[in-house]
Amino acid sequence: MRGVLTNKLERLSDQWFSLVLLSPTAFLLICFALFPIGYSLYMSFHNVILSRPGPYAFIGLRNYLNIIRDPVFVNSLWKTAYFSTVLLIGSTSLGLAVALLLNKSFIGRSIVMSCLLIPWAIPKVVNGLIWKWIFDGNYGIFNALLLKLGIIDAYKFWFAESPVIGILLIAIASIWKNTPFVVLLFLAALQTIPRTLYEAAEVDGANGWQRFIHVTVPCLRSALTIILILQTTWAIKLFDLIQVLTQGGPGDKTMVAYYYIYRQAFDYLNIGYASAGAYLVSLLITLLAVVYYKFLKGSERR
Amino acid sequence: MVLRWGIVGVVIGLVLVPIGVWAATEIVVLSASDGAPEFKMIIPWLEEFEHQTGIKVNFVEMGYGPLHTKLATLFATGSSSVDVVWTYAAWTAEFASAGYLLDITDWLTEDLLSDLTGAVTAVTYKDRIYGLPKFGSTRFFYYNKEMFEEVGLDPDKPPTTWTEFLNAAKLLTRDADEDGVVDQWGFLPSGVAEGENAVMDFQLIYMLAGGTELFDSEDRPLFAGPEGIEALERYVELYDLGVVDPAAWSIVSGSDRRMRWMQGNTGMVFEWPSLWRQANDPDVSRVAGNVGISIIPMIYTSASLDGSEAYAISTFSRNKEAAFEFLKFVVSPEVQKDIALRCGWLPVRKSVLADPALQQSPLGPMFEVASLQNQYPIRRFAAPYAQEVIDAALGPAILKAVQHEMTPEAALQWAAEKASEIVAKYKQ
Repeated sequence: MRGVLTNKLERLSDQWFSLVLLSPTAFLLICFALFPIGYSLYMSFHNVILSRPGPYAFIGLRNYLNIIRDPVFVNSLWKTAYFSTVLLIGSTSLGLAVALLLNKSFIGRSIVMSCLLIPWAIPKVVNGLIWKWIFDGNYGIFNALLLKLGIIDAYKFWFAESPVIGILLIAIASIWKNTPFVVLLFLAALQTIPRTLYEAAEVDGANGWQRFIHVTVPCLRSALTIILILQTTWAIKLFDLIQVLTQGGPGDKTMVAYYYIYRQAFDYLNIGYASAGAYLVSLLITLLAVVYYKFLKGSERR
Repeated sequence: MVLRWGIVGVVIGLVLVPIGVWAATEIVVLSASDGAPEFKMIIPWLEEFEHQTGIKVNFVEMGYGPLHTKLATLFATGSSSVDVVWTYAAWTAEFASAGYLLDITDWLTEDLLSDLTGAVTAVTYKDRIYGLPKFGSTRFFYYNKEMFEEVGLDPDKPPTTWTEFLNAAKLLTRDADEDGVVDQWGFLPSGVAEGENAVMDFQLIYMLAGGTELFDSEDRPLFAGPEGIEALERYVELYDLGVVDPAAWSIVSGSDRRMRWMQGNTGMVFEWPSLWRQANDPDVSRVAGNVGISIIPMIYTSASLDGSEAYAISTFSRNKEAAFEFLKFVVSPEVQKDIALRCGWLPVRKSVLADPALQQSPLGPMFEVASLQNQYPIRRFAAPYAQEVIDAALGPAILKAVQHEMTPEAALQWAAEKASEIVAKYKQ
């Protein structure tokens, strides 16, 4: 009887001790994560314009209805989707190609690997400034190159041409920055594939392409899923490159979803409207994460 | 007994000395940049102000973007941590309409009021005054005399009408080094890619075409009327004629624009007063000594934009009187004369502008043109919803017209509808 009581007390004491240890983290999480998340949800139902005096009127779902009818926001979602697609296809295929190359041993491999990491190591704003100079309509090397090749007959302001071209250029800058990270993940996954699998496939008469499709690709599926989730999330949250390169302009030609929400919140101080937009985008990211997760689970089962 | 009173005295002293220290009033001034390091306007005068008034000043400088957000959050929370805030016409409308800026109309003497130039519009909202201007600024017409001479234009006769301006722009646009590529242009606009710059040019031409405000007193858009259509047609024509410096597509800030013009490849520009000093400085400008200045060429009248900067008092300040002392000091003749002569901005007092020392200084021609330009309307788009209308409606509409995605009329109609939606949000 006494032993049971002692055990119970010890268990209780352990629970209290755990709670005490967790409480600072829990407190910080409540203050700096849960409360802001909850409060922004509250604000998304109110007409909070920070430059107007409160109290702010409760307007129900009007912010949500207005923002899904806002053509700039809807267009910004399409531009974000276009950017994400180009980034995913570009950095994943380029990353895989480079990783396959680096998976072979050759002279100077470590030097190539070190150089490859440079774009990833460069701060995002510096990356943006480099590409701003490259694409500049007055002195950019991109224009000079196209002019020398005879593709254009005069310098162009590419971001003003059309949203398709503007976003494509931003995606190129992003691919340059993100590819090294993709290479590293693929390379790590490639190095875990047992040599014996390739040897067995070779014995079965599989050629190089068949070994790639039937051995390499299935073994890279987990890495690919992680890359897809991370890249999609980063693509949807695109902000820094836009801020440095175009600030969403000219006009709203390169306006992507996150940047539009930022402008609403911090330039126009429409906090309620921006909160509604942020919740919609978060919902979108969550849905995509669920899809990728299902894809990962499905592929694991297979 | 003596010892006991001595102890009491020490205790009282220990209590009173800190009180004495804290009793010295300190005000916090939250300001946008006070100017380039060698041309600071107010900071060099702070010591004098503290000496004269005994009021300490904590002067904090910030960039425009962060400053706007900081002010909005400070005001929204009713914070009294800031006493004096930097402002200009658009912010005054935004924050005064919300009750965040102190109405000081009744604090101003008749003498001071009658001596203030049009720069006071930077702190005026619905006929009430919410601060005092720091310096005056309006757009002038600048031209490159050397380029004028090269194409056979009289460098001492700047264009006075829009037709003359257009003709000059056409002549100035050419392949100067004859390598088959155009390398000199007639006109450098404020910048079309960035909304605020595009709207500034549009508003200026709108006023030249006889337009007044962009919105009426009920916040209904006026810019889609005949004056607006004419203004946008004339603006688009500049691009269609090819006389616009292509750098306009990548200009996002005033300093970008000034640097570009000072390279000497563009004949004409509409710019603020300080360009006169900068452009005539051979250390930073290739056009030094060849700068011409005049009033903005007329369509039906001349007109200009207001770019004056000012200081206002926060409604939540606990040191309103001390803050007002600071505002009065900023507009004092000594400070204003120094800002004008040393930094190249316009004084905000008529008496200082009329001072012969200004006219006789190397900046004299600019001050002379300022007096002439002051005879015509000078405005700036200022409303609580201005920034969003500029970025989301009027700016994109101007771009659509320039790129021929829409006719000027259709673009302005589209912008007016979009602007009405934005205004409605602010009226809920």
